[in-house]
Amino acid sequence: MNHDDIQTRLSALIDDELPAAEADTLRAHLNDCAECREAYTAMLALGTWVQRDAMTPLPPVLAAQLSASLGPTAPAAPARPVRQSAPVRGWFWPSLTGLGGVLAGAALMFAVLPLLQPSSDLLSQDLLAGHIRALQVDHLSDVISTDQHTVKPWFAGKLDFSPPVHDLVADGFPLAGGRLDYLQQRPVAVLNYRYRLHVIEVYAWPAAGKPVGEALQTRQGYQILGWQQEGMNMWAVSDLNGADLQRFAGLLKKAGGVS
Amino acid sequence: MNAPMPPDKKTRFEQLALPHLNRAWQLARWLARNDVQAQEVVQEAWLRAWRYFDGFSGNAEDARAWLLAIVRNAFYDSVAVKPETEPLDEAGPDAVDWRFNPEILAARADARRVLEQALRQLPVAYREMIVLRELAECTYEEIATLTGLPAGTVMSRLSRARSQLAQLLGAAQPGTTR
Repeated sequence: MNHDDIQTRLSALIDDELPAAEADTLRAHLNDCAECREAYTAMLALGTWVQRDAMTPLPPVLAAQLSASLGPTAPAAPARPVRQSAPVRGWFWPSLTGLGGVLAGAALMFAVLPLLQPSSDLLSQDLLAGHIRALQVDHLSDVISTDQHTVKPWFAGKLDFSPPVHDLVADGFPLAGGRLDYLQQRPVAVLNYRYRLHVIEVYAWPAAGKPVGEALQTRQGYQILGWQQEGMNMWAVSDLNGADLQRFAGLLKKAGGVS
Repeated sequence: MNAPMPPDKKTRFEQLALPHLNRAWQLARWLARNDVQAQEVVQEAWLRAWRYFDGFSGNAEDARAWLLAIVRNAFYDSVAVKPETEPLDEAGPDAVDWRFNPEILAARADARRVLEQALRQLPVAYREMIVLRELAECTYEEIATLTGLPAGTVMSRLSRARSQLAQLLGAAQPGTTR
């Protein structure tokens, strides 16, 4: 393979567009080859930067003009609650970027969440709300880095604890960055990982009290998985399927020395 | 347009198209010269999509590539330039210095402006690859469908787009290599 071929493969690996066997071979190669690993992490950081800074908010006037240009309006069409027959993910995922999705997502959150969730589930409700808010305002990362040695120090001075930051790039879960959030009446660390087209956010803060077991919940097509490691409460939120999210948590625990 | 239409057609259309409106806007904005032209492109595309809506048989996921293809065509029709006619340096120098570190640039206060300038300097055929992938979150298959390019070309063009962008950024900002 020449230089160009390798670069094309790395680019396709980032986009998860390589056949599984080829991707595994290339990931194994990344562990051994510093040059390719540098190119890969640089490409990854470039993509995260583009996603953060190349977006421009949709002009509100444009959305109104578009709706008006189609003639008679059905009453409050975009804000109408999502039909229950629609697959939840199909309607919820577009809320990342689409105005309709945002409206539908907001309607869904305000209309459905309080009905479905007992008050004891406030934490997972807060986690999901935090995750969706970050996706909607396109603010997943304050520090963009694929390098754990950049992300971890970034939290120093901003938090009174140091969250576990592990790079799982060789397992297909590249670190993309981190940010702060506020949960449980305290600032928490949020780490941002990617898997294929999915975003995984990991919320971390010091654990108090006795350890609890792993808990997987599903809310509106999102999976929320909680566990403890290295003295921290860890909660992962993603639209990734439950099995892959549990595999991700297992890899994080292993990286943190938890058996 | 003035004739009364069944109210549910517009609702169905908006439920299908609105989730992808922001993606359509990002694409138009990076294709067009400025935001005014981008708005015109989206408006034209929206009307076209509405006209073609009866013939659209896909599901909510298919609507993304469908709508983005209409936006793209609306843009290229409006400027009478086809992406294929723009000379592309497909076999250009491939020795990109990937020691260049985007993380340092991305942390700067003027990161947004630096990125904007570099993206604007990319040939539009490369720029649209990056936008379709990173901002519209299309798969290679969707990009191939909506651009009419072979899947292999999508893969290599996206890779070249990334390296050219990195080159532009690296050249604009010396001293950011690792």
